[in-house]
Amino acid sequence: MTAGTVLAAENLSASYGPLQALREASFRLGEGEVVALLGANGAGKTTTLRAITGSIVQVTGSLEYTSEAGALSLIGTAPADAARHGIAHVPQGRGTFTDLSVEDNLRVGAMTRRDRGEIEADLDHWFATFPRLKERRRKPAGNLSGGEQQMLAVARAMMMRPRLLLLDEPSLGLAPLVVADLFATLGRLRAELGVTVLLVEQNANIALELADRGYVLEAGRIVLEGTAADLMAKDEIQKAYLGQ
Amino acid sequence: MAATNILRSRRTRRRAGWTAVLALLALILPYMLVNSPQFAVFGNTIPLSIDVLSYAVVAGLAVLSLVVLVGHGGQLSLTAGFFMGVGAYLTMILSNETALPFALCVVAAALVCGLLGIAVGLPALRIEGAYLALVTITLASVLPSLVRLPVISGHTGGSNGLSLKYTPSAPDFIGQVPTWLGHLPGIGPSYIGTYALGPAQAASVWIFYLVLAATLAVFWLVAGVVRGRTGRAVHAVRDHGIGAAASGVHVARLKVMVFGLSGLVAGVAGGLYALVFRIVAPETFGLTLAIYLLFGMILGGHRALGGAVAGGFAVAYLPVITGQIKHIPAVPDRWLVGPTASFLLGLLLILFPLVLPGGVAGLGRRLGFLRPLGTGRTDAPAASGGRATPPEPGTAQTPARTAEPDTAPTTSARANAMSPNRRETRS
Amino acid sequence: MDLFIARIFDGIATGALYASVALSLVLIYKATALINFAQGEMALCGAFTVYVLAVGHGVNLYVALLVAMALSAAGGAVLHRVLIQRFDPRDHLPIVLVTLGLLLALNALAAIVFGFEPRRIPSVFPRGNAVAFGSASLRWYTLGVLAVSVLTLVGLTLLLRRTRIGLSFRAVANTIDSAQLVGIRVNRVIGVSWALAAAIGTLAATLYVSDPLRQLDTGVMERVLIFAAAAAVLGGLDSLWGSLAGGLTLGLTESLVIGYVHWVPPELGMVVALLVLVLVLVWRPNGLFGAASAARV
Repeated sequence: MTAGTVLAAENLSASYGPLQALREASFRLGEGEVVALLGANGAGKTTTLRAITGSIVQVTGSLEYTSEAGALSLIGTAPADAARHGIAHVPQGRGTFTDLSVEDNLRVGAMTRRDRGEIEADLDHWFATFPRLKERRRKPAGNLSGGEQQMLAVARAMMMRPRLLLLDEPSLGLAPLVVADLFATLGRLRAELGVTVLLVEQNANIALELADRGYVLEAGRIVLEGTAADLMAKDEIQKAYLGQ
Repeated sequence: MAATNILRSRRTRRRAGWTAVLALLALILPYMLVNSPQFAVFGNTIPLSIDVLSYAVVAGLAVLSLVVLVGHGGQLSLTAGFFMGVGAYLTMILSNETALPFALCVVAAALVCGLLGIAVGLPALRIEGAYLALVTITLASVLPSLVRLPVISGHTGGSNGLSLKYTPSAPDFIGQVPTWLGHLPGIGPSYIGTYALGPAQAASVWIFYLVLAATLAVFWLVAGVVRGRTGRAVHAVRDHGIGAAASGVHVARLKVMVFGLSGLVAGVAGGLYALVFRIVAPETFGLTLAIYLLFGMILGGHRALGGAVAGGFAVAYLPVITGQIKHIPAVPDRWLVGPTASFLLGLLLILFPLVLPGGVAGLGRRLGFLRPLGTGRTDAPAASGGRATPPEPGTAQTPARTAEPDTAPTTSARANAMSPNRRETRS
Repeated sequence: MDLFIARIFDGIATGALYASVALSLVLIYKATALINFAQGEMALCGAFTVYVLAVGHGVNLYVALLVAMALSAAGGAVLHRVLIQRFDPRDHLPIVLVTLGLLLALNALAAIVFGFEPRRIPSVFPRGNAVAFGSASLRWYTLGVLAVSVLTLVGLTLLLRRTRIGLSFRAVANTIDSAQLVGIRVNRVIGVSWALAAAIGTLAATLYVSDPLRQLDTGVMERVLIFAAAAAVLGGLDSLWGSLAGGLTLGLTESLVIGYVHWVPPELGMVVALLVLVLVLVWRPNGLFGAASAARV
């Protein structure tokens, strides 16, 4: 694996029983990069993320990840282990703990950490970054609006102090204004945090504005890759996804 | 294609063969058992009686009611014992206290049980899985107490139990059969004898045939429902809940209907039980029976209609066998008294899901005797009573056949083939 | 009036114990939406363990109780690991079967080992009455049992709200998938809840049979389990404090019905439990304090 690569997938295939959702996909993420994974509904984007966190049993190919401790293969991991290696996954639909308070949601994010003092400091930091969350810190997270839950989900993931952040369709179900606000925030955070991000999105336009590079999936295969600028210029993207 | 034709005819011939064998057994067995032969194993004598054989048939019917409700309806409801009890008591009360012919009493009792089934099915719409199991098993546990309530114990006999006054009398030819059957080589002389049967014995044999006929009729009816359009709709509801509703299927109505059908079938079983044994006691239809019936369902394979037959035999014969075994080499006798039957049943209940999730029918499928289950669908959303993450608002409800099911199983625990909601590709 | 007060006290005593067993049921249900049907019989084995230690070997009663609770906790964790964890938690049928099988097997085992004659466990609380109200009196037993139930509840609540493991548990109870994604070892958390439930069950069963008016025999817990189930359902299957409310309500109802409605003989109190269950289901399937998603889809 080349130096500075956080995640490298080689001929990664994944299936749900008889259904093959991912076919020999190869991609890599370098340290600090934001990489977008684009494609229509059903193209295999969520499957890719699930393969990384070990939420699917049938994964073949090579999936190498460089954790703090060194390189390891993610084939055959369980989801809880992926988290312990520093991979934070914000699932589709946000996965909010609806019955837990906002604050507890954040604390849960830090479950793999032992450094109490730092956890408290991070908590304060995220409340400062998202004042709306601080206002509702003791309320059940289920009461938050979609956009607020998305912020909460990102903050919860960041509480892990992850090395790799997986975001699954953060714009899903959110109004355009909210999406714009969300991605502006992500843009700001990105500068501060330096965490590597794999961003899955149907909304190619807004994803490519944030990302450095991108891959396009179609029926489980990677059909396009390049820098964000290159991809935005491509005709296919213009036709198929722009205006989404 | 030629190959399939050959296969089909081979299977049909095999089926015809089995049916002939079974019909022959149905003819000979009652006459063998009417003399209560005993057989010895390891120094124990186990008496075989025709009553227990009849009970096996009846129990098969009760197990069928569970197969319908749990296997096909996907509802973890353990009401079979309860409805069987209600059916038995009601049949007896109607027969003892009114002038209705016995058959009508059974039908009436069964209908009431069907209605009760619907009544139970209504609140059951709101709960599922282990919760539903808990509630329905409570019903089963409480029947003995219900029957003792002073308000109705005048009719039910309370703690003393109830006996049936009616005894059917067999037509003459039943008693005459041994005169020619007894000449069969081998078993004839030793087990059947060539003497005509006395009225009591003839009645037992006649009851066996009555019970068998009624059971077969109900099985046939149920098979018709399950394999027809209603059955498919019910399966759709079981497997695809939300999707089925979207296709215009009346989910609630179907679920309640399955409860009603299950109650009806169990009610018939109860009425037939009353005919076979002519005596019931409060404890007959309690928690233990409910659990035995559940085991019968699992033994047979919880979706297999035919498996209910095997289940019925288990329900009837397990207690007999375990009750009669007093000596096992190398095991202290003291251990074999009393609770052994329950202990063994408990062990079996624990072992079956581990070892043989598909039951006997699953084994039969693997060995090629039974045809495989129909095409189901791909990965299911939450199984009955599941705790999968509910889809969040705003998430598109993708139909089951996408490459990215939102609710694909994320646990790495081995998916078990026993769920009422799973397609049994691997049993 | 005195009869009424006496009935109330009786109701509180039994109710608090139903509530404690209900707690065990709720603990497991909260985390997994599953019911451990064997809970009562596991508790029975725990009570027999106390008997063997305290009466058979002369161990101090309280030490015996603690040891039995520890053993039960271990047993619960092992049971979960060996028999329950292997199944897909969303598939309820095999687990219902296994726990029912355990119910039968454990009960039969107790009968085989101990026989059917009733035994006595020395009273955990001081004998006699604490306070008198006319001719009705409040026994130390009643006070003690109520105190234990409340304390257990308080302890559990603190555990859930203030500790890491408690937070993990609440996360698992809410959304298993998300819990895994943040690194929680879900199976371990559930195992702990089984262990806790087992220990609480043993405590409740021991207290129940150590009542000077009761005895320890193999039939004891079947009845208690039904009542505990009804109590749990009434309070809301995923509400811990609901168990207390449900248990007390049920205990009081049973006690008052038996005291005043003369055509219902004592052993038919079970019918009361059933009626309560039915009413709750028809009117409010989530119980008094359950969350709206108690019947999760």
